[in-house]
Amino acid sequence: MRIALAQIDCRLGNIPANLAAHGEALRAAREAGADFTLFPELSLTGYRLRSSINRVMLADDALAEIARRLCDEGALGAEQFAAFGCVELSPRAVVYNTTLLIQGCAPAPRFRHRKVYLPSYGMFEEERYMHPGDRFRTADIMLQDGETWRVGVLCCEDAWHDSAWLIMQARGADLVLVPSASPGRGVESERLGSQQSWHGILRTQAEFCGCYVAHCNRVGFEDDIHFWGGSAVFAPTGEIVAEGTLMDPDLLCCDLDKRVLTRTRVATPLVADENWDLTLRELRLARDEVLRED
Amino acid sequence: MQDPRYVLNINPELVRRILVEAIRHTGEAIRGEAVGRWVVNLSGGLDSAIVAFLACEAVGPENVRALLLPYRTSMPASREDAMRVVEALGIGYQVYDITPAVDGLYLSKGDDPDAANKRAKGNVMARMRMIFGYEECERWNALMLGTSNKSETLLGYTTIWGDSASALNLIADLYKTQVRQLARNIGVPQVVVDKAPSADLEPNQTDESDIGFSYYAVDSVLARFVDMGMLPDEIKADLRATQGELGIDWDAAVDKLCGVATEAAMRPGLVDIMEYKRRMTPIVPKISRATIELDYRPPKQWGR
Repeated sequence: MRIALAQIDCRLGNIPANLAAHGEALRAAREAGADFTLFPELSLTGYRLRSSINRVMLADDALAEIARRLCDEGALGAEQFAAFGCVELSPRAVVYNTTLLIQGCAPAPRFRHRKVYLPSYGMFEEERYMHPGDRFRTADIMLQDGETWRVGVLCCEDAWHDSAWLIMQARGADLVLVPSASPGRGVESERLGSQQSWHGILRTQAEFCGCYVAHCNRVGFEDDIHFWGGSAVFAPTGEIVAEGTLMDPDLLCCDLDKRVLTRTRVATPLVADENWDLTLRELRLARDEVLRED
Repeated sequence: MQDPRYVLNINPELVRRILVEAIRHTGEAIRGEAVGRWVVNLSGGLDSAIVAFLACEAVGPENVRALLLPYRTSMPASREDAMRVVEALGIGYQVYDITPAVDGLYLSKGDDPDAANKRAKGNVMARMRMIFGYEECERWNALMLGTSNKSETLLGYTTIWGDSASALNLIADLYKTQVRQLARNIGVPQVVVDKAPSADLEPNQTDESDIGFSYYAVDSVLARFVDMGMLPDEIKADLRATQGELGIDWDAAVDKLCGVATEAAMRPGLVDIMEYKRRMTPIVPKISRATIELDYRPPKQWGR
């Protein structure tokens, strides 16, 4: 699978401009022969929407229209996939931070992930304006060459929860997509603090889960905060396969190899060795005996 | 969690990159122009010098204009040091003597400017300088750069609607000791880096004598309190353990800045009390269903 990470800047609340940027990145990715293009979190709307979120939330028909436009304008080929971020308005009028997975030939989204962990501490206030999703699932997608990949999505803060990765492991994800809008902070050492933390987590989880991890982080400024970019793809061996520039827009392309997945999983069968019954039993016990007392 | 000993360390190259990009982005977001123009009031001190250097790096010296705004009691060294910065950068500048404007206010009231309350007059001077700055901005289609650092902003050692007013308060997330670290490789004239920080609103004034503690002491406390979320007692213990005495009364510094809370009583600290100065939208009694700031909280740069 050739994956492209579209490390774009997004204009806050400006869907037409962002849609054009998506089209441009998809065309470049298509040119580069990408099967799959990943965009950052909330790529269609920008991140820090606050009380203006009602101006950019979209119901399914509007989202389908956006997907159709990306295909009709030749940006997304029939056999290509893309995942982008949007504010979803559900039929019951619940607002979600959603990542949509679409395929060029299909009118309806192939898969959607509603962000589960909405950070609402420190500088973050997502749960003030959005509702958490209630599941972590994967989807099987078939590429042009007939190869099938099992993909899951952990949107930004989701990836900071070990439990979410455990579910990805249990579901046998080959590739975990991690779109993010991570603000840059921490300037005390060689590398940006945000980048150090993210790389540590993603690299470790790629090894633990025996899967590829594709992290697409956006760039640009919104009011007081900047997003640091530095998108990267991590192999199950822990290696960084590709890494984007810091703070500037970028389009990273690299090839993911199912044989590497197989080799790594056979050599280090962490997931196969996992004792799920024990894990689930002990987790329940810990919840009952400890967490509920807190 | 970070080790508190290093919380004030910065990587100057990373900080420089972020601030330069912030200037470019803000000019574009507010003015819709790829290269914005900026006005900065140069006091002769380190903060405004660094802001001018970063602005030049961001948009080029032709798009930065400096104002030197002495009052008749200002120290001559302030103007000389500000000129060193102007010359090092090759930026356009104007010197406006603010004496007639400041004294004029007192004359309008029938008062003697020389008999005015020192604190009140210092604040008039700080606000007058921003009036000059904004007037320049309007005529030159530019935006105002603020030069407050995080230390003085947290202490409230600013004049509200004076030096705290600007379109972009560039270094307000850097403590004074961090500004000094940043200055090292940016090219600010050494004499400006080395001088004692002063508001220069009253003769022979220095920040550290006004505040009662050195910036090193203040920043060591504030970084633990604000950035690391440590409690006053933890801060005292940590500072005694890691910093040694250094002739600083750490307990007094923590009590003054962070307040005192015992089971019997609590007294807010300077940082708590001064929060009102950091709310550039004043406190508004809530009446409607969508009060500005409380409910209506749009981003500042919608659509940009």
